[in-house]
Amino acid sequence: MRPSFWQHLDLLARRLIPVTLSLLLLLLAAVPLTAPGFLRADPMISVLCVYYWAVHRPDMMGYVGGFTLGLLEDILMGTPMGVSPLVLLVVQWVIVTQYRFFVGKPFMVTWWVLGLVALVAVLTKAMAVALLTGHLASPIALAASYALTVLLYPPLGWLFGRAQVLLDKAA
Amino acid sequence: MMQSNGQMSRVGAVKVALQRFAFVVLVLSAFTLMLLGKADTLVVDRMRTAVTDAMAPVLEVLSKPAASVASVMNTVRELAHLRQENATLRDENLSLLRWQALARQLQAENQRLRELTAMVKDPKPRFITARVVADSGGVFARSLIVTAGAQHGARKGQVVVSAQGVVGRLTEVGHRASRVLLLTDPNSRVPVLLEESRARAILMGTNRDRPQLAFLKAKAGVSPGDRIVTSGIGRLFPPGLPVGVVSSVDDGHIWVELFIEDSRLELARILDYGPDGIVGDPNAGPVVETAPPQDGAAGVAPGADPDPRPGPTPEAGTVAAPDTGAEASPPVSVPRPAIRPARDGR
Repeated sequence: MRPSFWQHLDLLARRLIPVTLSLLLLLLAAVPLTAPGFLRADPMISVLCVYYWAVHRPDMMGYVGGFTLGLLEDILMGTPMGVSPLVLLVVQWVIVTQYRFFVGKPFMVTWWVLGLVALVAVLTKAMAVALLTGHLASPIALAASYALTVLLYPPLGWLFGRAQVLLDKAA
Repeated sequence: MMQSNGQMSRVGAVKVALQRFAFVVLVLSAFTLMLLGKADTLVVDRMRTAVTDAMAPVLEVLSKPAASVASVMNTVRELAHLRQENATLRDENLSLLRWQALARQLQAENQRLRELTAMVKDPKPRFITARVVADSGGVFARSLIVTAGAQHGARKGQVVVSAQGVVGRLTEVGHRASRVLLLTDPNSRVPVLLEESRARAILMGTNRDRPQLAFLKAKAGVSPGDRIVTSGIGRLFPPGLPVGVVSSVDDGHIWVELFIEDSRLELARILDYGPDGIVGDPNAGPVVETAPPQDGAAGVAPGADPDPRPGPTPEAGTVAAPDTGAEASPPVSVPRPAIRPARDGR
């Protein structure tokens, strides 16, 4: 039996969940927190999103999704255009080619690998930005960004896990 | 069954090939964008502006809950320090009253001197106040997105200030939103001078919270606590806007602590000098105002009108930029560390 129009629409909406959720998180990360006591830090939300979906459901966020996310990040953050898409594409490619490694692995392993991936991503981005602008990023800011990215993985992973349950139900 | 399996593997192979092709194309696109951006082409700028413009309403909606949370947290914090802050404000008020008397005296004197010398009047700005809806964070670049665009009168290059001092200038202007390049961004260069010695320098962003002073001839005379204001050289920034104070001098590097805290900004004011810009109308005549301002008029200014008329009572803590002598300077509050009457011997 062929699925109806509404079923198609429902399937499409569910398939767009990963990218939509990631875009929303990226926008939320750009919102200024003017409350006292908040540190000025800049976690690599896009790397977290791309990493999670590449590990758990690579079919849900293709290279086009990663590229779009990176482009929006560059535009919002004022970084040179093309840097974030390149970093995200490399992250996605590395994880997708090593997909078999992650099958059935516990959370701690994926978290540990994220630590390595995020380190490579932040250094690559810093080098690309330095090459394009001639300005080196502050090592403290880079370290803060890296640490926050790694620390944010468990809560974001939980959120994406909920979204994944929705997707799996639909499948 | 065998035929079906073969078909599936063919589909899988095509899918993999397509993915690889997409990957290569997208990587090449990323490199192309980097090269285009480096060449500073109009296409990249327009793309950036168009996307920022499209995202501005979403960011505005998202920023409102964040602003509400910040407001509640600020209220709680203020309540906790109410008594202490009250005592500080009383002391500060006494000090400011002394400054106000002095400022009025100097203003009247300036006015008389300007009349005597038939000095050409500086252009007065109009203000566009906009909400800050996005903050670039600060690892690789330092900028803000504000909800004022071309439809509100914003133009590329206009100066952005807050109640404390200079914030930066507009580098991208869309229809309804604009990007502000902060003084701390590595691409920011602002001509400034040391308020007391009048020595000129360039304030360079370093991607850290404290920018650096460069091209300063007499470094020996600089000491922590010296006030920095815009010099007006190059006509990008009007003269006399408060920027910050020298925070430290080490190994020939002079670091500046800005009056503004860009991560705490909720509202920003864009200075609009009209189509003539900061240079002003070349046909402008000499100063014609004769009467010194009435009580409470010293801080009239957010949205100050060129027409002399009784203005509203200024907000608490707002006075015209001190000691700049520039009527065009926007009224900004005097940052607390900068008030040092004892040092001036007044």
